[in-house]
Amino acid sequence: MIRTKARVSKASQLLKGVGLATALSAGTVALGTSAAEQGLVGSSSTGKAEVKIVKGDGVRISDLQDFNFGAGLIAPTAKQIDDVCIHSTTGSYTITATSQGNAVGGTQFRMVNATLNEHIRYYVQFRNDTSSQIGTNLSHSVASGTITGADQTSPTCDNATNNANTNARLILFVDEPTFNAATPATYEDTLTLTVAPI
Amino acid sequence: MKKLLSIAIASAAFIAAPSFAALQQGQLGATSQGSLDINLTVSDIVQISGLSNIALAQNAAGGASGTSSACVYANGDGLYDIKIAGDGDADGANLELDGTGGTVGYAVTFTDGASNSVTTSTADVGGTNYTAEDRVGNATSASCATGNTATIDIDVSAADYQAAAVGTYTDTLVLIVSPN
Repeated sequence: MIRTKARVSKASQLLKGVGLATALSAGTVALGTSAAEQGLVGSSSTGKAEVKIVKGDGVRISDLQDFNFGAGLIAPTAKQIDDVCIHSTTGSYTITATSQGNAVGGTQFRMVNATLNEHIRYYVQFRNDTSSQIGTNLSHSVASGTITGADQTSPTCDNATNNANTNARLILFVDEPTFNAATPATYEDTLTLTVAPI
Repeated sequence: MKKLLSIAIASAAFIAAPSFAALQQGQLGATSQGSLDINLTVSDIVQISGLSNIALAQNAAGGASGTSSACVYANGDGLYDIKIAGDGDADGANLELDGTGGTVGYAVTFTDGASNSVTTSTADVGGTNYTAEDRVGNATSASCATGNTATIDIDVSAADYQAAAVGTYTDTLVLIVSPN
């Protein structure tokens, strides 16, 4: 399972650097019961050791960028698009998006201003290609249904048909009522995206 | 009439004759003194030990790797040669992990007690053993009590690991040490 976080900001001046947290999925491998064979002292000596690897299903999400909605004055603001690379050795996966700004539960993604104790809701959509700006809505901390179309062999989507080596798209847009009602200020969130193989 | 058959069994054992000087036998007297020579021939001997089975784990480079230490003892100057091989596959490939999903090549880096490293090639096919000469071991302790331990590092490249089907892959790495 790979988790990656992208910062979502409404009015920050600069795009923040890309933050990728890569977790290695390989665990401890249990070797066979045979012990390594130690050599004996003599005119020649032979030792043997078993070498073993267990490869499990692996996934990776990469090419994430921070989102910056800019300094909008009134909704609707433009949709924010980020094309990403999804690698899954099975070709299928689920994706779960978690909003750090959602401290109240429920399904909402929220950019917050802690000083004002206010928030602006935003929506997260996902699609398994980069062909349009319309995707399937994700809910906070709820795994999507099974998605196909991941790159099965290349963790960097070298097999993608586009030049950007991406094969999926994140689409973010703000909620108009909460945006227009919010006190002018900077609102931020950290969006965590978790991909799991199916 | 019964015939008695006799079978002579020749011993294959070879007994080396030491080049002793003549013994001096004592003479009869109030005291008597004799002398004899003591001879010891030390041959070149080696031993590889301290090996552990190696469980490969995914590494930050996207491949997989694992390691085992080894103690190589070689009397005299401590130098030895080592042959590195896999268990010998039916397809003739040498350093190759076998699994239900196919095979995965790997490279072996052998670092001797003086930090001299050699790395095999994953293209080492055809059952050819990889040989490294003039390696430095421990010349005095067969258990490497005084150091000079060696290291065996196994590496599966990111490309090979990522292209491999899900499954379990194993091989038996054979290390043959001989005096230099």
